[in-house]
Amino acid sequence: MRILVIEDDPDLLFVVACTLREEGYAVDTAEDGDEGLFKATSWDYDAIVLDIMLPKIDGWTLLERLRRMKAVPVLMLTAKDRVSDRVRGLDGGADDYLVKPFELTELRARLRALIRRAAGKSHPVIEVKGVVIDTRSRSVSREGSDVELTAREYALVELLALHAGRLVTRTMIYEHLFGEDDDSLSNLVEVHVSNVRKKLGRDFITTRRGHGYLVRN
Amino acid sequence: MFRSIRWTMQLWHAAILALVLVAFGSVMFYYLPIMEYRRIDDELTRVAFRVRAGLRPAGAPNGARPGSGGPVGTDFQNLASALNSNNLADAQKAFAQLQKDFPPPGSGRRSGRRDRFAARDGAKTDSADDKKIAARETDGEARREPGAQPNPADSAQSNVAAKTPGNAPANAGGTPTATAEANPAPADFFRDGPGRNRPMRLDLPEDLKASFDDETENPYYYIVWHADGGTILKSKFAPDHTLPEIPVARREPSGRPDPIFRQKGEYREVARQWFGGTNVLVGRSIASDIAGLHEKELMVAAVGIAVLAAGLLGGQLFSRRVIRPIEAISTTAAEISLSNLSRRIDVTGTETELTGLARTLNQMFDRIESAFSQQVRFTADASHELRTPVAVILSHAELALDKQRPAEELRETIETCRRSALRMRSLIESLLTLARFDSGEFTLESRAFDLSRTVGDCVALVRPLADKRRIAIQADLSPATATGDPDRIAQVITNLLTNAIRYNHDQGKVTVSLQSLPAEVLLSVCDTGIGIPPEHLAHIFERFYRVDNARSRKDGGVGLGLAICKSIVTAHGGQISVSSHVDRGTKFEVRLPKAGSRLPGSEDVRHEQEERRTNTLTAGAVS
Repeated sequence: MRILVIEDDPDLLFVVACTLREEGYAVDTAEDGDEGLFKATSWDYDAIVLDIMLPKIDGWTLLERLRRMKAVPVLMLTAKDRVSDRVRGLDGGADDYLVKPFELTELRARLRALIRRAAGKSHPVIEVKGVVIDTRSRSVSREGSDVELTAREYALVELLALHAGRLVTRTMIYEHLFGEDDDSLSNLVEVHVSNVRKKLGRDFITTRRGHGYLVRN
Repeated sequence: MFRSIRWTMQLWHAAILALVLVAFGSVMFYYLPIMEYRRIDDELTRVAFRVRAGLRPAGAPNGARPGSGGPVGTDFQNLASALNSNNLADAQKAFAQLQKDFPPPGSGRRSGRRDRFAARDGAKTDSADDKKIAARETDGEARREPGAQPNPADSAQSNVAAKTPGNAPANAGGTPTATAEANPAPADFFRDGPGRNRPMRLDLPEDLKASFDDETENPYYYIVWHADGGTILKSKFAPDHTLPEIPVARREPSGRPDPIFRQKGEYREVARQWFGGTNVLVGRSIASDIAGLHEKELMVAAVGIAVLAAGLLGGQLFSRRVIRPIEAISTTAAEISLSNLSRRIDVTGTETELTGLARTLNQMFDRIESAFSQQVRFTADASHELRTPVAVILSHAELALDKQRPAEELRETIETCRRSALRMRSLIESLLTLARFDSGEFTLESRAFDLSRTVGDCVALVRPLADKRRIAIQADLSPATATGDPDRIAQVITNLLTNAIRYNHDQGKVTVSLQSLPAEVLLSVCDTGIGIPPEHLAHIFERFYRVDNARSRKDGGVGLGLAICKSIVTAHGGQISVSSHVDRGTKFEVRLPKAGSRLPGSEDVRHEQEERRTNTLTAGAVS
């Protein structure tokens, strides 16, 4: 899962990016509205964390321009806590709203919910081919027993499970699993797919040569 | 309830109204009977004259004067009806006829008037006077010309008298003076003199007497008697009253004895004495007049009460009308609370003093609302500024505690937290400073100090910051002394210099100049930086106002620096203004009162300065 964080306060940006990375997300960061809008329109993110008070282009304007092109889930993160501000944010196309100061756990939970909903799965537990994926605890179990996955592997399983029945291209996996800072060696999609197959069974992931991967319902 | 304006108005209104009505009623009640009695008295007098005119010695031929033979009764009736109908022309005609038929004594000679008590012409004078009285009661015109009116009659009388001198013993004094002197009439009962005290038998024409016999047609009665006692004549229905004493000595200035008016039970009477001691009393019952008078008085009282009632009712409606807008204003004002500041009093409709009041109140509400919303915004902005550092501290701590972290990472976290805490501290200090200025708690030191030295110190303080970006600071300081708190002024200067460096281009230039003007000290800080767009210029002294969020926040600013500068300068009685050109630079000017330059009460000077400054600010904003 790849997330863009647009926040002008470097300390806050760092801590948000840090916690999300630890959670297994691929995280991109932007320090002003200009850069944020550019990144948000250039890549497909699973979610965007957006501050309102931003240099160059403020959050409202950024959201308005972004919505003309993309339907990506946006979580607004701001110090403006008046009802009118929240209403404006939600009406402006934001999917959720979080007021500073916030708890990191809440931010993570809201992002999970956003990503789930965007994939059309509102229930936190997804079950595909006997594999149960609990997005709350980011754990996977097969036939009742827990399966240990790395963060990357879990992200891959979750991505495929959220798009169960549909083809997930290599580019999509690439874009959703790896952030802009990830080095190319660890980016090898095939390695992760092979590791997941070892843990969850060979036929969990079907390969469509030349196109990508697929998890059948 | 009675302490309200409405009731006060009402009570005053009622009191004034009642006072006016009582005054008016009193006057009415006083004058109504007077006027009524005067009217009756005039009426009685008129009848008395008629009776008097009909008097003649008893035994004279009935219905005609000797020598004439005219129907005297008819003549009297004509005269009476003419007098009653107030017809002067008819009255004169009837009188002339009467004179012709029954020539009165005396001729029209005026000389006789001077000697009224002369036996010769007393009767004539009386007769002329009678006629005048009659005329007076009918027409004011005739009254004004007493001499002219009787002339034709007089001459006629003279002629008649001249033709019949001494014709009969009953010639009632109608003899011209010359004749009378030569041949005094023995039966002249009007005459003063030897026969004065002798009661004389007198009579009235039968038809005149008869006219008093029917009480329903003629309510009057008469009594004729002599001063020496003894009733001579009495009408049929005359009541048996004691007759009034009429002292002969009582005379009007004109020479006639005073008539006597009196009230006897339900009867009103007038008694008069004519020369020769003959008294005539005429009276009538005035019971119906009294009843009419009471009716009138009742009517006046009723009208008065009706007017009072109408006035009170009108006052009630009027006061309600007057009070209604006041009540509306107070209701609306009561509805305006902190949670609902946007309500306003309705000022549509006609322009009144209350509209002015409402408008003034509305303006006051506007000011309160604006001050309040400014306060709310300030609080919101302040908490907003505090949120980010708190968020940083909170999330960093949370992340650090999440799992086992290497020491290096924890150190970094603690470092970040410290940075955020410092930022919060600086923000809190700024807020406190502003709050103290707002509440007036701030105690400024006030002493004369060398401003050029303070500026020099500040320049030295910021020089490292400038050097880092290779910005040149040029100080052009002429010696100047200002009054105030040097530390606070230094804070202002440092803030302006920091801004000038912060928003300058690298290798730019900052110019500080200090000038001593006649009344004030002018400090200007000029930079060659990015400038401030004109639309922001008017707001830059507002709290938390930022031209660009990125700009100040990255440098640790919270958007309160200039607001604090302004508060400090204003507290010193000075002014701060700004002018700017985008990409060419910004210039801040601070004017402070010179040490000892401020004369007490130099209000106009200050006002002028203020005006000039406002203009500067406006001009700056436009450019």
